[in-house]
Amino acid sequence: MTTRRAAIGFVAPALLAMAVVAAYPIVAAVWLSLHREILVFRDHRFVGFANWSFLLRDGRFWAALGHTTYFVLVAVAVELVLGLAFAMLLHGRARGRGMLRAAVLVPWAVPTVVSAKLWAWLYDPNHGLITHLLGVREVNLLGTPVIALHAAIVVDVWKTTPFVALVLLAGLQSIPEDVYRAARVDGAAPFQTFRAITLPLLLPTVAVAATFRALDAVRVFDAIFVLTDGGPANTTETLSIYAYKTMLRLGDFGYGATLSVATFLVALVIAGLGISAQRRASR
Amino acid sequence: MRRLLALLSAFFCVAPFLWLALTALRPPEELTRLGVPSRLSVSSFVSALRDQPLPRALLNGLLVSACTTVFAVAIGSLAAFSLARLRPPGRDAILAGALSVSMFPPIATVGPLYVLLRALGLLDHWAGLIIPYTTFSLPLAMFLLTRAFEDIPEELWRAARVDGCSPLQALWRVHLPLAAPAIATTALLVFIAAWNELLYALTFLSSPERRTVPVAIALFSSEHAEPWGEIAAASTIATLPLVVLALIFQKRIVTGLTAGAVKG
Amino acid sequence: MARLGRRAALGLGAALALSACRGRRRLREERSLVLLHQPLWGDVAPFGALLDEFRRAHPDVRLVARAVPSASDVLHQYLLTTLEGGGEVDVFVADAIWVPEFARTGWIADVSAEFPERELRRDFVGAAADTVLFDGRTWALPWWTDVGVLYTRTDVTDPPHTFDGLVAAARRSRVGGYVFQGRQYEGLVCNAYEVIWGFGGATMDGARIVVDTKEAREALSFLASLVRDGVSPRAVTSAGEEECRRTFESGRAALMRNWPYAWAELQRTPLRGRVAMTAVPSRDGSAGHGCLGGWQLAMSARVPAWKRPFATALMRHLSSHAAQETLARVYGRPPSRRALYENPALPTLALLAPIIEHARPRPVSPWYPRVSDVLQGELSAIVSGIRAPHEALSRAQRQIDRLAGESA
Repeated sequence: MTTRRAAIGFVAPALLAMAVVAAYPIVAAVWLSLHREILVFRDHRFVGFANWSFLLRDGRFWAALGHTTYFVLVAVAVELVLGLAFAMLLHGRARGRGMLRAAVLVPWAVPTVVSAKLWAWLYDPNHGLITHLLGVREVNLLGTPVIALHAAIVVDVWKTTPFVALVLLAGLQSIPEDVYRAARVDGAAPFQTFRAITLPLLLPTVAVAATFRALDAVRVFDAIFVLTDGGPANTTETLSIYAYKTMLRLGDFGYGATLSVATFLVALVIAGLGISAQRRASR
Repeated sequence: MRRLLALLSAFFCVAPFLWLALTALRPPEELTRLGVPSRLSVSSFVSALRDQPLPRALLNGLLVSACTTVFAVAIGSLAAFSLARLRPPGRDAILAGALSVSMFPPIATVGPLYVLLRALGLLDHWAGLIIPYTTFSLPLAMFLLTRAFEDIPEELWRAARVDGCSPLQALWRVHLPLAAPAIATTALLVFIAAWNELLYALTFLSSPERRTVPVAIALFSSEHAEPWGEIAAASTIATLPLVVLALIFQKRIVTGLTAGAVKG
Repeated sequence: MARLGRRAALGLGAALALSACRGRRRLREERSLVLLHQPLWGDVAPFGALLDEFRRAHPDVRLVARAVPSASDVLHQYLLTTLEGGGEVDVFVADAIWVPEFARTGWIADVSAEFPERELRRDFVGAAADTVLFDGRTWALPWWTDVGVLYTRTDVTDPPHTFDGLVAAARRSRVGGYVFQGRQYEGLVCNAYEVIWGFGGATMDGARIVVDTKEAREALSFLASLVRDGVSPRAVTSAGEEECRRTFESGRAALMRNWPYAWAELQRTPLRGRVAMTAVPSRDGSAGHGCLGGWQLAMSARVPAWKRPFATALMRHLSSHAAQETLARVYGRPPSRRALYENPALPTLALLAPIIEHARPRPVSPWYPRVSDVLQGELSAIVSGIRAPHEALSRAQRQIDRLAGESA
């Protein structure tokens, strides 16, 4: 076997798998979105852009897009701030660092479904620890519009801040020590050092972490599926949940595919923004 | 001060999980109480393991995740070896393609995959879950392993070729053993991701006896009843192995998670 | 050692991979009869004995019983796959609300010849017969039923019969008010229909599902006021059956809307003997209409002619008087046969008898599952107070009419 043939032969299985199982479904979803395809009614016909024009008029879609965007923005912002704080703690020479390093891996390792279940129990209006600690009588975190989405964000923050923290820690560790030494010679205060040196040098890493997390958050499904299933009043319904219900629960594959392609487009936009942010940050 | 903050942060990370474990250990009649339980009881664990299809789900999860890990590492290391050493045509395009696959929202692929698997007769079949899991693990596996292979001195590869090693032998005898730590990292991350996945498992497998762990937990309730103690026990059982794995292989996991974040 | 470990791991992985690839053995035997049913909670032996009885009586066919998911929406998804994909299934359980949908799709066999309407109306409770009759044909056989009921703490108040009485009792109560299922899910639709019926509202206008009526607006304003005015705790907007039951059991509610399964559970708590189970209230005090739930036995349209008598016999056997008695006694599943409600050996059923006679099914329409998806969101908006009933109902009606118009 020549090297060249081996080169192609070795990547072929991976390429084939990604083409058939990842790329083809996306193309098929686009094609499906041009059809009316309702499993239960054996309804199958080409309808052109009818699904797409309905999408533009579908208030529920715009609401779901709004919830998803809000979820991504708030969750990622909080995760970056908290994650940076964690990373600084892990980076310093404080005692208890090893313990914290072990502790942050716990939420990361917990399956999302389990984390949603355990938070649902913490949020329970009668028997939940959080409800009790908040001390407010008659508070129903998962049953009140607007609040419920934030409760879901908290679950996401708990579960994924560790990832952000670890990535940012790696970024901090890659900043050469002599940069700081120079600052110390100049007599800069810690906060000045942070603003003038750490943050700018860390920015590319922040951009990477934010992109990864945003791409992950835009597909949020598990947590909301378990916590609220989109309720109350669809106020926690994200694009993934709406698409899932339409496609798989109700068997409307045509419009469901339209919704899922829309989700894909949103992810593409985020990826584009993320890449350009990384470029700008590394400049 | 820093120490206190570190302690608080650690508490924030661990406390919810400990509360879950405590709920699981409460005697059933004290489930709705918040204080310290009067005694610890394993009855929730016993009934979660006895009456529920949980042991089955654990085995299913192990089977699916292990197969996914084996396939992803095998296919991924072949591809990575090619990318790192054999310079296939369109190398950059392949890497970019893999990167974009890792960004696909599962919801965008789940519908057509469902139709595809149905046509192939693979719905409600292990292979119907292992194939997508493997595919969507490939970008990560390729990325981590390409890096690891690139870090191995090129001279070893040249020497192997002079000795008459075929590319496959060079991969198997030289590169895989030297990249063992990266392979362990990859395997861990792939395994944990497959163990935790919900959407595909929920959609492609339907028989209760084939459920994986997240599906079993998400659908634990019967038609009306929702046994909290048992759900907590099942969740604890499903999570504990992962937490233990994560703590044992801390370094490996952190390396894997942060690879690519720093150098770009 | 490390090498050995790696070898072993690889070996284990390969073995697992192989066993996965071998996959599931498909059922090839011609003379088998496949039954899909939900796992019944509790002791499996009595149900197994029922199946064995059938096996002894029909040695020519091999009965294969498969357990399917118990959560209704998951089972719906499962059946879509199985029936559409031509999976092996002959007789299966169907939720009360799916029969028209599956009938329209052509997935279930018309069994009018085996189970004529006249016979169904005679033997089964009214609402249960209604659910399996569609377009003048019989599409399934009622198995066991479920009906919405009102639970009252009799040491706190007498069971109310009117909505005003309910509000008054809840306000007087020293142990908390009225809990119902207000989370965004199918159970909320059941709760809402009971109140709409209690206000005398209609749900169908010919084949059209109507929700935006004067009665419905009044009914749902009432439902919303329960939460707004504190008759029901805020917690109900995220409560399902179990949240309600836990609240009621821990002594934090005097009144609860739930299904009969809670009765059996309550007998195991200190509340035993202090709880009444009655019909849901209405506006004028006449016996309210509980929402009908429960499961039917349906036959796949693909059952070949030779197998049809066996499939029919299985349906008849599982839904027989004796079988339903077992289900009621051992598993607490209320029967669908009238005669069982007169059985003195089953005292709980005597309580349920008048309630179940007044039970009503949710709209019998092929679009119901899609309509319910719309209703769940809008009803949740009403109980959580973010949309006025008239606004939410007109939104729901528009979406429902669009669905029906498209699919016509």
